[in-house]
This record gives sequence, C-alpha cells and structure tokens, in this order.
Amino acid sequence: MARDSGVQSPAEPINLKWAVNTLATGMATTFTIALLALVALFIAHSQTGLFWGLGVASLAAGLTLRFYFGRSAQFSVFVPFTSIIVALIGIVITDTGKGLYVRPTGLAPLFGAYQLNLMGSDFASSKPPAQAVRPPLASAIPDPEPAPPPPVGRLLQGIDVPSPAASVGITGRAKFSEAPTLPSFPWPPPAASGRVTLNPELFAGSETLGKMANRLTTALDTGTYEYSFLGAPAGFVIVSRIERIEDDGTSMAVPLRWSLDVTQRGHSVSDILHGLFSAPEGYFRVLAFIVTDVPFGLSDNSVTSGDTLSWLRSGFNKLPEEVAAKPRTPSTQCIALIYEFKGQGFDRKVEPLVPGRFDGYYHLTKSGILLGLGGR
Amino acid sequence: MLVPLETARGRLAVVWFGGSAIFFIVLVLQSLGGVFGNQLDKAWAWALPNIAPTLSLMISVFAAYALMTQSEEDKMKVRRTFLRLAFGLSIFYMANLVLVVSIAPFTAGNGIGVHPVDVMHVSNFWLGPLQGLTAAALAALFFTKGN
Repeated sequence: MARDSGVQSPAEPINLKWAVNTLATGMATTFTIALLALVALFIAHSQTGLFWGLGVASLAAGLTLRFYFGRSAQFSVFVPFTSIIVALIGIVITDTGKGLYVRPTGLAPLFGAYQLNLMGSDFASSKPPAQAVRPPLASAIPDPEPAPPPPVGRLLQGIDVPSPAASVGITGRAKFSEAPTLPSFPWPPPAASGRVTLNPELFAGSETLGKMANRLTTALDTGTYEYSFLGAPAGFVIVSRIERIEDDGTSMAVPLRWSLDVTQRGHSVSDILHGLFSAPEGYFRVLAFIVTDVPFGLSDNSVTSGDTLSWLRSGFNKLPEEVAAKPRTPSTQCIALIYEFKGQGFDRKVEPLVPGRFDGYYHLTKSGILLGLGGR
Repeated sequence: MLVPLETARGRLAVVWFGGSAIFFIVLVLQSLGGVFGNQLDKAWAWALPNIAPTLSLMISVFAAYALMTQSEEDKMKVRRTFLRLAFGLSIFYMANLVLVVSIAPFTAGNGIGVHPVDVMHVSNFWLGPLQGLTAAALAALFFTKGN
C-alpha cells in the first residue's frame, strides 16, 4: 500500500510520491539549517538581532510544523516560503554591503520606532549622546603666536627628553612659546624583520632632509598609509601604521587592513571554509624609514604591536622646520626597517617575526612603496 | 496510520548516526586545524555528552535484537504522528549541534565569549532542554515495552 508521505516500509517498493516527499524533506531541512545559521549570526552580532532572530525562527518553526505535520502536499508551499524568508534576510545582509558580519540594521527603517519603544533597540536610529557634540577644536583653542625657532640642532639632541612645551592638553591651554621636540624613535632601533638601505638615486634632487621626507611621504600617501615622524640622531624616522597583510605580503583591503583582530576574516567562500576548520591567523607589517647619516645597528630588543601604535600616536604629523632644513650630506642614507608580526588564535596574540618571512625589498615592493619612490 | 516499530527505529537511527557523523567530522577537522587551540579537551568534553549517550543506547537496543529471528517488538507499531514528532525533534537537535560547532569559530569574540569553546558552552542553554525533549521522544520508541 502506498503511503502519502513520510515513512516507507522497507518491504514496499519505493513509489514516486514517497521519493518526491523525501527529497522535499531534505530540501526543507537544508533551508531550515541555512535559516538557523543566519539567525545564529544575527544573535551573535546584535542583541536586537536576538529579537528578530527568534521571531523569524518561530515563524519558520511554526510553518514547518504546519506543513510538515499537516495534511498533505506540504512542501510545495513550504520550500518556496522558506526560500523567500532566506532571500529577504539575504537582501538585508546584502544591503549593508558587509557580508554576513552585520547587524540587522536593514530592518530599522521599517520597524525602528516600534523597537525603540518596546525593545530598547540599539539600532542606528538612536540619537547620539549630547556630550558627543563638541564645538570644533579650532574655536576652542586660539591660534598660537608664531614661536621663535629654537637653536639649530636642539631637536637632534636629547631627543629622549620630552619637552614640557610639547604637551597639548585637551583644554587647549598649551603653551606654544617653544617649538615642540620631535619624539624619539627607540635608538638603536629594535630588532627588525627586514632591513633595506634604499638606493640614493631614489632621492636624486633632494638636497635637504625635508625633501627626502617629501619623497617618502608621497610614496606612503600613494599606498594610503598613515604615518608619523619621530626623531633620530641627526635625522628623522617615518613610521607607518601597523597594517594587516595577505600571506603574500600585499596589503589587505580595508577594513581588515587596519584591524589587529585576526578573528576578523574575509567573506569569500574560501575565507569561510578556512575559518571553519582552522585557527585564525594573520600577518602584520610596520614600515620605518630612518633618514640619518649616523651609522647604527639594531638592538636585541623586540617590538610589540602596541609599541608601533605608540610610535604612530606620539609621532608628529610633519617634520619640524629645523630638521627639514638640514642639508642632505653624501653620507645620509634612508634605511627601511620592516617589522613583521604574526597573530594567531583566539587569544589575539600578535608576536614579532624576527627574521621575517620575506626580505625587506620584497616587502617594499609588495607594499607599493618602492614603486612610489620611483624604484622597481 | 501506523508504522512498524523496527522501521521507526531504523529511520531515527539514520538521523542520529548520520548527524553525529557530520558533527564528529567537523569537530575532528577543527581539532586538527587548531581551532580550539589549547582548549581541545574542553571542546570534546562539551561535544561527546551531546551525542554519545543516545547513540550508545540506540546501539544497545539494536544489539539486543540483532540475533533474534523474531521478537515481540516485531509486531509493534507506532503512530506516524509521534514518529514524525520524534523524527523532527531529532533533525532539529542534530542541526543545532552541527550549527553550533560550525559557527563557533566565527562568533567567538563578538559578544559570546572570546573563544569557540565559550560559544559551545553558551549553547548548552538551548541544547540542554532540546536534548531532554528529544531523548524523551526517543525513549518511548526504543525503551518502552508493550503494544
């Protein structure tokens, strides 16, 4: 006797209706799992997502029970309905342009007011706190009087001693009577993953340290790097912001490029599969260009990712005039130090790689800096 | 509609052993890939109690009747509605298990702990009750005597 759905006795031949029903069951299960995965992602990424996730899950479960345990010919309705739900969620996700890692803010325009009243939503429709609105800094801090230039060479000596005048408080009451001292880069420089002495021909026509700095910053700007100026004996250092790089040394795409969290991954299928079965890992890079005519070696000290962020934070946005005006001598060199780091695991440890995986030229090539300087 | 008990048990066993195989393989691959780091023991300590008791009991029931040519249970039948309920609960439970281990590496650090094992332990909040419901349904089909 043929059954209308569900269970087929082993003693009976398989009929078409049973086969179709079984196939539909498999499809419905697959869709349900996909739906659950999306719900779980919502839950994981937003408390408000919990509300929506439970709502969608309840709806799906109810329909599953209704159609699966209902009268007959259920899946012809259930499967396309589930597909529509999954597609709608997909639209919400796609709308944000951030792949699966997203809060379900796409629903806010439809239901934002309702949720704000009942759920205390964290949707973007919430107004920012009043204290977040501040007057422009320029209006709070009067323009300082032009400071008299300090004696030449002052900034190149005693760079380990921070100048009290350099401290700019948030109240804008800083004293500008003295030119600030360029914060010092650790000297001798910490052990690096790679070191390259750039060809002097790359700086042809640069008679001063300032012009050399311009060549470097132009190349860094081309690569959309953030950077800061630090002090070095008889010269200066330009330090780039720590960036995450691909396994082959090229810079990652934003926003992963500037994130130190290796658990953040891409959204491609290969990234997801890789993330499913392996611990997260990532490589990071900091470039430091030292321009000086003073010979130096590297110390045994290691650098942490926090150190490099501190360099970037405390470093100056431009080279002080006293340093920029210094003439370039025949013995002035530009040495690129590459600090490479590896982050691995969910404990988010980022450890320096000394020596690095690649040589310094490789890093400069992959970062685009060498090309920006006119090299090959 | 009534379904032979042997058939009902067989179908449930397919769901449980099939789902457990997927669950197990994903866990093994994640373990070999270093997803759990130095918390490998905690991951397996969470995983095995979720499937091992039910699988053991199923095997013990099948083994008990494996060598019998005929038994009282051969004549028993199950109402299809209840079988569907047990079937649905089992699929839903196994789907949840696979789901948790599959998304744990992606959700760690985003509000639920900092490590995939943390996510697994959080999942006990809903897996526990769900396992209880599923086990109750299975117990009626595997361990109940009588017509």
